[in-house]
Amino acid sequence: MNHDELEKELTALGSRWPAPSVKDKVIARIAREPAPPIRRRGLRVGVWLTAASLLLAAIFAVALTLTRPHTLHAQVVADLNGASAAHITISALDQRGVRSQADIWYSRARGFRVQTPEETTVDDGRQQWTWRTAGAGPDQIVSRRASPGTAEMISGMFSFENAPADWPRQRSSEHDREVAGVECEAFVVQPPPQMTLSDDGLTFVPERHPPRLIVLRDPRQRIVGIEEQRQVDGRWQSGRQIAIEYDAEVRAEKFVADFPAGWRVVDASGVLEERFPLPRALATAEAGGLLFAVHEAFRGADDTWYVVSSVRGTPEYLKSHPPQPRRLNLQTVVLDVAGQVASPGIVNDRMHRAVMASAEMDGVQYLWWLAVRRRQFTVENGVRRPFQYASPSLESEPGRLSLELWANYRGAQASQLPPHVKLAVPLQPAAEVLSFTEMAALVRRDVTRLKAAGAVIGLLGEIKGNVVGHLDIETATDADIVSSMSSQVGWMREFDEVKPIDASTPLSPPAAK
Amino acid sequence: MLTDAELVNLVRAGDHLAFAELVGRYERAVWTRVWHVVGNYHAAQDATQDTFLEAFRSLGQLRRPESFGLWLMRTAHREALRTARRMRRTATFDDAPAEMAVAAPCDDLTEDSARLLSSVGGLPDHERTVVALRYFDGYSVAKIARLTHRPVGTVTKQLSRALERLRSVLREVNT
Repeated sequence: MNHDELEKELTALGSRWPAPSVKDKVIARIAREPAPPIRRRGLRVGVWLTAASLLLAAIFAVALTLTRPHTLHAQVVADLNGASAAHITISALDQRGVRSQADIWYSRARGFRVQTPEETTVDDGRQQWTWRTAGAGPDQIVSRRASPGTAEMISGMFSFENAPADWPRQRSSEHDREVAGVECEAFVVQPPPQMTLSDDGLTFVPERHPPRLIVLRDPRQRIVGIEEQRQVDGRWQSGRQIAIEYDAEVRAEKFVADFPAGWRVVDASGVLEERFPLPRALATAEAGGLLFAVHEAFRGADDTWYVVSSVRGTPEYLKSHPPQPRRLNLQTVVLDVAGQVASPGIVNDRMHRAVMASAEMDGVQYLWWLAVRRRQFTVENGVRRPFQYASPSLESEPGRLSLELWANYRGAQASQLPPHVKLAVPLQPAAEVLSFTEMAALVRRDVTRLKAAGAVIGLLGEIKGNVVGHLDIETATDADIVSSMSSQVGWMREFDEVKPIDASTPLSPPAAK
Repeated sequence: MLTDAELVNLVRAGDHLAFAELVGRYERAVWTRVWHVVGNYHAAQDATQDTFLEAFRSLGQLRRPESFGLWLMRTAHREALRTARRMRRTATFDDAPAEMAVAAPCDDLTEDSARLLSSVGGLPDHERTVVALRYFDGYSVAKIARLTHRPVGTVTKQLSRALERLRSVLREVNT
């Protein structure tokens, strides 16, 4: 079949087409159907773009989840760093049930100002000043130190550093509310159940008032509110509340260190090391990765010795056990390494310990205390008499004090046995004998200075009914400290009574075999 | 005479009769294709109807209306395969189209015509379309070019290649 023949055959096939037309049947079948829906390219592109956008959003959300900070602390730092300014309010109930408020004004360009009823802190990003807000107090001191970092410090004030790295959080629309004119989403963050000691102190029981956090997030995913609640009698009661207004208008004068004129500015950076330089310590000794040091030792009256000692981690210990920062309040963070026992008690058969004050800063703990020679006695016919085998003086040789220092680990090592050292400390010849009043003056001078520098201070008061009281550093006088010392020494010496064994008292019978 | 693209747009606008024009223009090409696949007259009739029905319902998805013919051929092929599956013919129809078609000629066709028809059904889609339009429906090459938005030279070449292919196929069948 050639080309022409094929064409003819094909044409013939068309003219006698074997199948009837389906046109009418098809039209009949589609007659009741609507016009085919048009899916324009633009629409398709739109659909694809929408799908792609959704996919990208999902990927971004996952990436955001993976890359976003995993703790409230880190998230607030990121949010603050992304804002030009912010006004933060933190309120909490005090022990009397009265709500007090702290204000924080933050500017990325200028720094921040923290104002509490007690203290004011201004940080310009390079330096930080802190002074008392309410009244001048006994000392008109402004503490100045290097800025620790603005956003980090502010968010650290929230004390939620570890939340909610692995805490479950749930969307809670019932807590949604408007913040600064913006509708915000609420999440409930549930800390893991905590166990506490039972009332009898014998067992651990679930926390009686479990807490939870209500976290508010604005449409830009920024944390704008955190409320701590505790469950009491089945109802959630509000505790600490934090509100963050990002990009708030903050006046420039908020970032001026406007402390009262005439106040003395103390450089807090290294103030403890300056006051008690380790290289000039009277004696040092290491035990269990801790370095003990005695910085001052004076002979006191009535077989007592005034001692200032410290404990810190050795470089090797700190490297193997990095201390975790623990925030105590708005301005104060401590590094938990170790601490000497800061309460009165019997140290050994030769020595008691009466404690005046403690201070902590930068992972180092200092203790102002009295080494008290034990003076055992007997009571015969209602009259006290010195025990014939009384403990020797703590001065093993003239001018050389024998001390035993103990410390407890803190942080992850807290369960380890407390290390201790024995030191022979040369007494300082500055004064022959210090009176309690002179000792109190030394203590108060030191702790006031260190408090202004940002150290955590504890000042012990009198013992009443076997309970040690505490003094307020802002209001305590030398006399208060002297009373504390006297009451502690008197209380401890009651333990020095030696009760002679009556020879006629039968021993327990031997166990039957 | 309206082009394929113009008819498609009319159908999309709700003009069902415009679709009738498209059916008339391509039904023989479609029938040839599905008959080549299914090898059964009645099944080819049903598959042809189903092809146009499916094409009408899917016309909104056609991105280039000027490519309606080619797009319809693909729809026909899918419908033919679907019909064939329904007939439980699980063999690969494309592998032996001519033999199957020859084995089941319709009553109105001579054996040679059936063989030729089946051979046309086995042509590539674009070649089958122009062959059907040119010989079965009597359109000129220029009109085919206009209706299908193809250059005249392209249509001519496709026709030439299709005829050469058919001659080759028919020669093999006859030997």
